[in-house]
Amino acid sequence: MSAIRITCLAAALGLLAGCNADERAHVVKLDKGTYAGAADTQLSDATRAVLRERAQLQRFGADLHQALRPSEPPPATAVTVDGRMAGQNY
Amino acid sequence: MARMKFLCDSERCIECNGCVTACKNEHEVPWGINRRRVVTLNDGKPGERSLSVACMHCSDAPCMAVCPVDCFYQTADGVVLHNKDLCIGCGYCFYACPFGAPQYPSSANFGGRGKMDKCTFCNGGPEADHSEAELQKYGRNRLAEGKLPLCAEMCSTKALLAGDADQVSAIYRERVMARGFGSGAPGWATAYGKKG
Repeated sequence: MSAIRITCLAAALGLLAGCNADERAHVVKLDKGTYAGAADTQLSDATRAVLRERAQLQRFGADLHQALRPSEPPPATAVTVDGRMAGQNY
Repeated sequence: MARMKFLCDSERCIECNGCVTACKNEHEVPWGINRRRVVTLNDGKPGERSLSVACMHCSDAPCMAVCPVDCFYQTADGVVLHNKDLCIGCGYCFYACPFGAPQYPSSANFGGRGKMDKCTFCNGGPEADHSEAELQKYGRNRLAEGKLPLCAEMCSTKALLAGDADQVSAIYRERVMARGFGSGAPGWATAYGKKG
């Protein structure tokens, strides 16, 4: 193998290694009209039920903030609440 | 299955910009980007109306139609979301959107805009729910916590409604009946051929 080939190969490997790690998983094949990215997590039926209850609170403007008091949150059965900031009320 | 929608009652909106502030704070939206904004029509004149506008999560979203890399997807609940790993920041969605919802975070060398950012209906993105990556890229995922978008929940006059379209329209219909007159929404007369 000639020195030029080895140099080219090393340069190509160097370029590939230099790629941003975040960009290596990019989709490079495009099927027009089809989303090819990562699939999202769908809401559960329990969460949807909680959201429906929550939406009903919008009917009563004055009572809403009382209904959302941190000490008395709306029922959130089967809904895991993670990632909230400490002391955040809403 | 729900069909999530926003509705702003222009009879109630007082242009306080609480929704804009709440959104920026909740999602830690960077300087220069507003996922939501309050638009005032006929400012200072009789008939002044304010509307809180963000991504309307269109059922047949033009941003999805024009995206050259198909980075948009619609959840089962009708929320239009996008994948920032796929977005190339071309700006086609910005041209296509009638509400000016897509935002671009940076003006880099050679006119680079950065990845598009827009209202997620507080539903995060394709990353795992409540993960650090989701928070960094898209903001909080309140829907997965069983909570509606903060802009609507914070609205002091309940002008901005969010939730299942059936519920939102039922609440709005009740209000219109209680008021005894039309919605007052700009364009109503044009759309339905009669006055308010």
